[in-house]
Amino acid sequence: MLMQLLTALVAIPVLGFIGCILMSRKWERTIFSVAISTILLELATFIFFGYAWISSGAASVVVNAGSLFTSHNFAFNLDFYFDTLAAVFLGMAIIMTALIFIFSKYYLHREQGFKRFYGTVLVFFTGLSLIILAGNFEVLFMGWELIGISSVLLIAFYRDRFLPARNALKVFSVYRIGDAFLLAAIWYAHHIFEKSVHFSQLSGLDAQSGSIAMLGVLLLVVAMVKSAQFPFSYWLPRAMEGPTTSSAIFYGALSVHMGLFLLLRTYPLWEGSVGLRVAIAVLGLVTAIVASSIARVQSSIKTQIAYASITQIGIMFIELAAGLQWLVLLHFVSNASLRTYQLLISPSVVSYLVHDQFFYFVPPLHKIKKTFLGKLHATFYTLGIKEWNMNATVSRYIWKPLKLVGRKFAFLDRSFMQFVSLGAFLVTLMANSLVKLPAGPSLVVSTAAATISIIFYIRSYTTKNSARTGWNLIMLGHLFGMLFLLLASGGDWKYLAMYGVGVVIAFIVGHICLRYLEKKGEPTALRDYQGSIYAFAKLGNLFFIVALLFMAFPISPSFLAQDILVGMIPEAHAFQIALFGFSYLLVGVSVVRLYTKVFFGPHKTSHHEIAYRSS
Amino acid sequence: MSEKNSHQFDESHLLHVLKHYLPTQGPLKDFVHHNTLHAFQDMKFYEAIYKASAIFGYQTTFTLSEYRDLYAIRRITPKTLARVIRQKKGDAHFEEWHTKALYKEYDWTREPRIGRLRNQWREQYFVDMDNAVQPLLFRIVCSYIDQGIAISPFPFEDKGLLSALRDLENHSAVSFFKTKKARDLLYDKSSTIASLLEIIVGDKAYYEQYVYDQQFSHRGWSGIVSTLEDKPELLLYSKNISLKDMIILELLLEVDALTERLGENWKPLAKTVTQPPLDMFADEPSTELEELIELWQDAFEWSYYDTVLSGVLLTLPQESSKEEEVSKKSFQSIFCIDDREYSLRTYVESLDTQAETFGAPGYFGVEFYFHPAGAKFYDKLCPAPVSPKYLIKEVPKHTAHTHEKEIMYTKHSHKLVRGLVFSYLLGIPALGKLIANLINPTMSPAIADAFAHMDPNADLTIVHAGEKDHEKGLQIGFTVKEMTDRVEKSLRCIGLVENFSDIVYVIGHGSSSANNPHHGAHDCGACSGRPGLVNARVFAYMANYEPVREMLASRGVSIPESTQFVGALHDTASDEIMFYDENKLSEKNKIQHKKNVHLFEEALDLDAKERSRRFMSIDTKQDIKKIRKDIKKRSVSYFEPRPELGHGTNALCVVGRRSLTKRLFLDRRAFLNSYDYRTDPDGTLLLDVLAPLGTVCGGINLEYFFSRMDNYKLGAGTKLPHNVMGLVGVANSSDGDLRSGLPLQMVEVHDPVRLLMVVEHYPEVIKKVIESKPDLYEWFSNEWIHLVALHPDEKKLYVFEEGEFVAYEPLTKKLPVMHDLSRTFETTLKMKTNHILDATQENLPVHIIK
Repeated sequence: MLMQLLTALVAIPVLGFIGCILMSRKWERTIFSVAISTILLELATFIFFGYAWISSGAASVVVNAGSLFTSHNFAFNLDFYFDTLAAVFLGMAIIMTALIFIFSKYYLHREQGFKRFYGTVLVFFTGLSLIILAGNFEVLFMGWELIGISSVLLIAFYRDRFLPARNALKVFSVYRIGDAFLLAAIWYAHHIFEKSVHFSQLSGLDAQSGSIAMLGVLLLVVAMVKSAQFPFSYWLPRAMEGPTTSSAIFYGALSVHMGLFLLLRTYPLWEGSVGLRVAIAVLGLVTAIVASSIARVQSSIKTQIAYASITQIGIMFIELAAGLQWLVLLHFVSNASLRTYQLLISPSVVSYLVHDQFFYFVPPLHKIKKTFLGKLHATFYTLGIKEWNMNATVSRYIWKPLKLVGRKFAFLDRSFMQFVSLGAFLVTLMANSLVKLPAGPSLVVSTAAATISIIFYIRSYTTKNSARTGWNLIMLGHLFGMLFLLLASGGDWKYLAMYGVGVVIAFIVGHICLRYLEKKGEPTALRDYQGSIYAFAKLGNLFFIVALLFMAFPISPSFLAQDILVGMIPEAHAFQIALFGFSYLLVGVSVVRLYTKVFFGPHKTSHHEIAYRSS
Repeated sequence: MSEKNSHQFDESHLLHVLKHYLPTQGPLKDFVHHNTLHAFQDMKFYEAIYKASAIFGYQTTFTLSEYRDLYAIRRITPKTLARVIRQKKGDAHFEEWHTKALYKEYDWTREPRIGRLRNQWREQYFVDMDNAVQPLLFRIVCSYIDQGIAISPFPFEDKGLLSALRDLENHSAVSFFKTKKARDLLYDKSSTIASLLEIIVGDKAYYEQYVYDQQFSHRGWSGIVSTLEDKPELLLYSKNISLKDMIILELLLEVDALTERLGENWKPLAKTVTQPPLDMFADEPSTELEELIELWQDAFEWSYYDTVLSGVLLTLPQESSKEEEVSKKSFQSIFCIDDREYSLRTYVESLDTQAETFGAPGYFGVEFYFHPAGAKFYDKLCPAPVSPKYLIKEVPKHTAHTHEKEIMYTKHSHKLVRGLVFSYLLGIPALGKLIANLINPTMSPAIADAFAHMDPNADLTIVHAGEKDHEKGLQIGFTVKEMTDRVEKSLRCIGLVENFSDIVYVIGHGSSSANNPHHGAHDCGACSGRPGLVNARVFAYMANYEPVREMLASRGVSIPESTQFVGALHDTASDEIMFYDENKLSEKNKIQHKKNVHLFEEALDLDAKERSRRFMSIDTKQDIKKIRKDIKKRSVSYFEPRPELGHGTNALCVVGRRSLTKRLFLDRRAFLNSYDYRTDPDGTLLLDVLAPLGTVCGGINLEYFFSRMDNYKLGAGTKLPHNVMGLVGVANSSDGDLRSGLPLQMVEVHDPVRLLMVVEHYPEVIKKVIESKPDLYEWFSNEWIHLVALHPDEKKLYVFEEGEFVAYEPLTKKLPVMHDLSRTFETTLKMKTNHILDATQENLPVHIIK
């Protein structure tokens, strides 16, 4: 029975989400009822499950709820896993979500996106429960991606303004770095363990300690991104664009602690690696110092709370590295509750602090002496205001070089060049089916294909021309990506077709949508946020689904096919896997960029109130 | 401004113009309503709003199709539209304009003048100046102004922004600037706006336009800096900041950004700009569409006004009822003129038909600073433009008035080491508090509590003790003459000079609300956005003071010995009332007061019920005591973004006797200022009555008007994502501009109509009075407020148009009748969405109360 209940814990939010999107936008009460019943049912199931689980000795539960896909050498299993760690995180997630749902019923009353809010939080919760209950990396990754994409929707909740649109893209781009590393970690794990590993078997795995450490490093990067550790911390305050309630639950309580969860979950794996533990502790310490120095000087309340929370997560990393798992759990529960509450009551700070000041104000000391300590103080102050240049640094080393490369390939925007590329693809494809290349040249050609694919994605990420141009570029990227997989994996047409069909359908539907927009006189140039969703909400929603398909979102057939094909690449060609991981990062960022630029932001073409860019 | 030779750059002129057009909203703790487009108030209303729109891209009216939709649902009546068209376009052109109004399509697109020049950096050089400069600029300015969110203050903040920055850079190992060029310019004290513009723009002809573009791309931050420069006293922790410094800093950051993006050798913008310099404030020829919108907006407004004016005429009491007026009243109450007191007054009068109510500006004519015992600062309790010379101190009987601490706000939780301890300790209590507030919301130190402004048991230093009784240049208390002057003037203005009842209540108002940075906007506008309880108590004390009574009697206002004044505070959000100094009542009055307290409670129940009709979370049909409880909970709920609806729907201001509106149901939309023309035949008092109404009621009305019309640019947008910046304002996101104006939740119920002021007096007297004060006259002559005179003898209406009073005959001949107020509210619909078409239908039409 435990097995059915555990599966139900994942299924309930999915059903709730479906129920929610079936409601009309105007039925606030009904939408709320669906959402709250979902979460209360989840809570009841959780309690019932927990009771049964504890009375049966609280041993870890392993469940296989079937598999999405199986073939002779690969299985995508829906594995679930429940232990104390999952119990604490899931319990916390359910309680927080329930509270936020009730809070938001009043708080979001008459807000245009009332339904969108509940729908998105339910997707988020689904993702969360997938991560928490995941029994293997594949399931965890699905959850991970759901959280990422629902973050985009909640950050850009006020999608008719510039800053939410831009920050949604900004945060998604950072997330994507983590996603790529997670994917790399998954593939790497496949290779070193030669199977899909169940989380219950992490401790007894047999592999070289070097490989384990490498895997640990990959996972650490993922955790750093998701838990906003140095140098990625800057995304957290910028994610607080939605209603205070969603900022509180996502970025105060749950989402931001998921990186920590990943490390906790994989703890048995890297526990023995001293180097890695030291690295985690050092990173945690650096983050704690940096983030607390920022929290000290920030003069906006939400930013201050965001960095205060990051500080504590940094400390949790240290506790974790020290092996104090119980302490970490306690710290998580406490920090998540405190920050959620602080964020929720943050608007009250005006009346509270002003009154407080009215009675107890003492002018603070603001002079700095010309001593070494004074210099340190001034330096920390300046760095704190500038958030230690984290945003600029990440952008300089990751996004700027991409744009630089992209600009070099501006000629690819021309349709003539695109046809030439298409021709080149077809010729190579045919040549490949006629002639079987020997290993060496095949490696060269496949690597070239991967590189070309990446160039197309980068160009699409950079182009300021029409959205259709960008869309074509991504499609060409996919084509060369397929070519790469065909050559590198030794070629299995079945999976290639599976990859291709999903992407091509998405390509065509997306093309029709964009053409339709152009026909209606909507600007689609990617140089700016165009905000078409204001006038074309339905089309925007359709395009969003198409975009997910186009970026090979997990559980889409294209993703499965990619996953399988990558699994077939020989281990010796690890760099090719890394290359493909990189291209996965890019395709997601390019597609989401295109989507946000076309559909989000201030809509200018018709006559109505438009927000300032700076607001 | 256009006459100015634009090729000569004059910094002080530039700053002057900028300050004129920037928002003047101060820090949120003192929310003072004002005309959002105050800078254009010297122009006619429609010219002004179209010009503002052409320059800044504000949306100052509805769209044509929205007006047509309002016509379709008959919110705009065909009769009114026809009348407006005939009046403005003449009978000969009626058909033509009528067809245009209903059917012709127009092209709306217009690019505002602001922003065109500076945007060339983006167009030509791909430098997004806003992105490159604003986040850091806002951070620095906000940290500098910050009143106490950050743990570490801005170093050297006493010396002015630029000087502090120089000192900080001197001490620090890292810089805010990325390039040496910008940093050197910061250190170079001879850098001025002009010298930096020469580097960036390079041609004097473009300087002004460039700075306008720059500053209006973040009007919120520039506005607060400009306001704080002019009125540093608005901050408790005062800051030395100037708009000039901010502009220089922004220019330095621009140099920095350009040098970083384009290398050392970039050219000034003017080198490559092809567009000629633009005269930002030049007049724009009016378009047909604008003329049409003018007709529609007028029709929208008069469709409502007409029913009100008709109602006034239909319910005017017959002369024979004079006897009733003379008979002794059971008790009298003076309320604030505030539109939110309208319904409470109606209920008090309906529960006791012998009770009489008056309306006067809620500071009751006594202006002073208030010093709560133990506080480090004074509170100004009078209209914003007044600078009082008096101080009232709170003298506690037992313990000093303090502010309780709330542990969840402790800044220690944001630090490294102590934060660790706090994040372990406070987590579970925080969860508990959250659950508790969701289940049973109660008052806490984090919630703005109107009653907490004064300790009800403490004494106040109302009587001036003599020569030496001064503090910080203010006189403590008032002399007998000063008190008498104020009491006399207030009583005379509202026409209460005889027939005093035994108890006269003086009822101020305030508002408690949780999680609401805009709580000041709900308090009393006549008390600078604070609750009016101290004023009420002070006024009552003065009016009871024996020497004042004597002096009053000598001036012809004799108040019977048995009469006692009682101060009180009405909380407009929680619908609670508290009376002060009840123990000073005579035994006889105590008994009467006890009865009255019951009556007030009952009236508040009914008031709560009427208010609840607009609140989705409260069932209006349930038991009335339960409604009252729910209303109270609403005011202390963190999750409730609408503790009350403030001045939403305000549309009217009636200056005259209560009998003008007593039998009318006006749905809490009217400011009521009591005034009796019979006691003031030549209008001397009328000037005193009208003078503050323009700024107070007109200011409130127009702030709501523009925040409703363009909630994105002129309002603060939805309050849900707001992030409190430095305790002075709110912004969206961590990098956003400060949002001035009112949030969506406050204005969504509002029908944007200008204020209709009805004054009961002879038109010629009113005309003479308003003409005697140019800044008052401007409100009416430029049509920012509609003025109608009710001729006391003829019983006819006159509208003030183009400087003259013109007879007005209402189109509405019959009004619906309301038999049972309370019942009606159980069946009214709540709006489906906050779009104007739905929102306007939540407002109930004018009814005659039977």
